[in-house]
Amino acid sequence: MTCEEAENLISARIDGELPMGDPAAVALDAHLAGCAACRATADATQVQDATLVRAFAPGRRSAEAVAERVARVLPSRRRYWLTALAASGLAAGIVLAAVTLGPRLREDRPEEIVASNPITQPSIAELATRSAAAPIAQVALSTGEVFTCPSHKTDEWQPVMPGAALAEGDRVRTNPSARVELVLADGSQVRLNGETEARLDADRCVELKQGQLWSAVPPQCPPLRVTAPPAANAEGSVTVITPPGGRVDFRCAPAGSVLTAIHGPATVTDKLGSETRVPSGAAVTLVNGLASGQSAGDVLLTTRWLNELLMLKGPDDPELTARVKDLLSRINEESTATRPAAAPGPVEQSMRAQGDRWSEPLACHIRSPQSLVDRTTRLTAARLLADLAPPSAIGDLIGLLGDADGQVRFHAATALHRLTGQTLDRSPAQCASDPAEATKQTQAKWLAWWEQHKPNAAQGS
Amino acid sequence: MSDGEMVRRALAGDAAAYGQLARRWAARVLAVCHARTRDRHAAEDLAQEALLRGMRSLRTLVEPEKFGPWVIGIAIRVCLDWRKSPKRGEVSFDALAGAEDEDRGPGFANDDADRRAADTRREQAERLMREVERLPEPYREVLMLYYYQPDGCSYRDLAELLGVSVATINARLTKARQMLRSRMMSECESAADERSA
Repeated sequence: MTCEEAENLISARIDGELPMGDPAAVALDAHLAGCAACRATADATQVQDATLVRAFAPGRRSAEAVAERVARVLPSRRRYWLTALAASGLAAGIVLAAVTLGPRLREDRPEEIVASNPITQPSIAELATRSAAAPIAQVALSTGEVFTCPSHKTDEWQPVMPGAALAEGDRVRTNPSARVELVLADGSQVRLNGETEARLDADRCVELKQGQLWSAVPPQCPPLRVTAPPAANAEGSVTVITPPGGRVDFRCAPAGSVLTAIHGPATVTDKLGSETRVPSGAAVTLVNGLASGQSAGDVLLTTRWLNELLMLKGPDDPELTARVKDLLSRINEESTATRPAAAPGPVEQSMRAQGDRWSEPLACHIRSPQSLVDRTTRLTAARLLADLAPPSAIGDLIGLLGDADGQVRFHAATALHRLTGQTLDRSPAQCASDPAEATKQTQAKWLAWWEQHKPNAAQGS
Repeated sequence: MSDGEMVRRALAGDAAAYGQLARRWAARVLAVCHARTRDRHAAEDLAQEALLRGMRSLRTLVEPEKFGPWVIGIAIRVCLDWRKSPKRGEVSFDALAGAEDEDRGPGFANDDADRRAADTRREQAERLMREVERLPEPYREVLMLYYYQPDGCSYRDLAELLGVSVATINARLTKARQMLRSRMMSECESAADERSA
């Protein structure tokens, strides 16, 4: 057993996850008997666990208080009794109850979430009452306002939140700045850009009425079909197939539609039934429903609208971290191209336009051990972070002042100077060339400074 | 009673089931909010908001047994909205400034020596919490989920909630503790260096 394995088992034992007599426990004891370092670790971990339990005590009390506050404002039994009546179809009773008891319930318990609360998503029970309307997808993530219209309504759009179930025939629409991710039962994903409308049909088919759609199908799953009108008010349709394991972006516009095969070959069938295979990374344009030519696609720029959705998943989301790496590599390629060095390329401009939203993903990239294998990319991340980091990133930047790479420290110090107006007697250039000991001291000074100035920063903001 | 059963009872009109769900999940929702915001006080408001949104939308939950991951997803969304909000800094900083008084509790000692000892313990706990908040997100999240729960969370529950293996939970908790020990130690060394300088 290695010391690393032993340390995992020490944690497991302290957390009650390693029963006595378990072979791993026996092996751990044998290792501890012969390893003084691990015995010290075991003791330190035990003490640390008790300290952590104490440190989290106020937090646990807060959790109890939160639960009690939530419990106090939850719906009363009476309203749900009425809801149950309504669901059972006793129409006359519902009307009578709603008229006579509804207003009184609000007056009696003003703190309740009353009937006006926005339970706008179709319930499972509601879905079940529709003909053949079993849920086929779920809203996983959204930015901005997203609406759905059930299949049995013509134009009754209601806002939806993540978690809402969608049934066959439901339509989904996004506002200009909104993005939404839908997940199908088999794990396939459909993402819609702003100002997009799509309808979920049976047999893994999505009808794109307008806008832009991205789809991904897991390997081993059947292909996903997206149909779209060839042009406004035109007859026939264009069909795009996302293959198993494939990813596709499809933008449908009056002037012409563009299909980009992000990963794996995609297939597009034009309005005359002619099929075109689009290899990974290529794009095909369709004008009036007819394929008019294939070219190399710009995958990163075409799908930049996905960035906001991916950021919702957290800075360490694997898809986002991979995208950050690709974007940084692309920025490096752009900077070595023939254009003037002072002008950022389109990818860098696109990232800068999204501003401080990139701060956490960039900081996450710099901290990741994987970034160490490509210093150029890491330094590009640090340079962008220096320009984009908001005040909330000051803690991260102070952390980067301790980085082993002087250039990373330089960019972190530059950002701190920009955000705080301070250098604490060590300029960015000095931070870059300081030996390890001085670096530690600078970092400690910044930590102390930040602890002292956090409250003032709040008042000033 | 399982989460799924509670959800079904709540939807059938059992108001107490809502409260039970809130009590069962509040600590984990708060842990996720704290991990995502690194601000305990803002996290309390956000956790409350997430739980309320979850309860209001309970009817849209497709798989009642997955109430936990679902409400955690709502909490993540609420935190992301907060992070995009221009006013988030105000909440954060004010909250930090007022954190300590609340934690003294009614039984705070009157005797000077006891008070000093209690002050030291509280300062240590605050320093430790600051370091927890500075851990990289995967480690911060798992550590907070574990310690916010009154009796700890089983590795299996955590694995299910975060969609990773039990071994990953074990490794992340171990690494989080290791990083914390190392950071606390270097902080002590820095303080000692400063005193001796």
